[in-house]
Amino acid sequence: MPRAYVNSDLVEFAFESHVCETLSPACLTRLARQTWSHNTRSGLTGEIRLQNGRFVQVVEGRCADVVALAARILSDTRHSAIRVLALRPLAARRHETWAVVGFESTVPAEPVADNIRFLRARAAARELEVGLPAS
Amino acid sequence: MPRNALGIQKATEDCRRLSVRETTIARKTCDLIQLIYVSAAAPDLTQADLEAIERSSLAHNRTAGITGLLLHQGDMFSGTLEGPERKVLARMEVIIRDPRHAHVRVLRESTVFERRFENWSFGTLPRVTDGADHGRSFILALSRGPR
Repeated sequence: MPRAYVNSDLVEFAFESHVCETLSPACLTRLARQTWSHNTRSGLTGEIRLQNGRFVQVVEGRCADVVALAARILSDTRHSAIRVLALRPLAARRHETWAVVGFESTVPAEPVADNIRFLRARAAARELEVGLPAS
Repeated sequence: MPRNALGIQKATEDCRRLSVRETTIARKTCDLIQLIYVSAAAPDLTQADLEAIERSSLAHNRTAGITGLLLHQGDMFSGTLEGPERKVLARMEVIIRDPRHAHVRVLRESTVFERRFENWSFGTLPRVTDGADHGRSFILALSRGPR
């Protein structure tokens, strides 16, 4: 059922996590399917990407939904070494669907990948900036 | 000049690599703790104050080898700190004395074998109308390690 979204209630949560080495390709495919069915049902959009042994995810949706999802996935043993890239209110959604990329039998979705690259670069830049001595 | 900038960038990256090595050592000696706290934000906090909090914590926590997450939502802060016990407790003392928030309450303190977070970050959530404390739920959920 479609829901009405109040702009100010939208949140974006982007993070990377380490993929447990013991996960078989079949487990990964199952995980990808789970995220797709759950997120499509709960009105969450964004992307999960499997890349160089890391999960990279951007999730956007209503604050309560995003927090509930984060609670579920991050207490899950399949995620460790979490690197938060962004957690902030959003004025409007940037993604129309939930995309699964980099898993077997999936197709790439480039527009969201650009957002992940941007968030990563921004997080790195912010850390660098404060790491430099004040001039 | 660009050359110089690159030099600084390289030095910063070397430092970061070093602190990763320290993290590994800390993990081996098992003095890692994880601490979860909530507090009430001062009523007159501005956007500039929040940015200052983010900047100073980021700089401090990186040198101290502290990772975790600080969340601001409405008039609440929720945070989790992980790192060597002495560093985390010292940071907690600073946090408790900081006038930018009050009523600091430690919800959980535990010894951990492995960090949950690889970096320290600051996030904000919109103030929601249903009055739910998402920040606290978020922090508690994220801090729960593999079982």
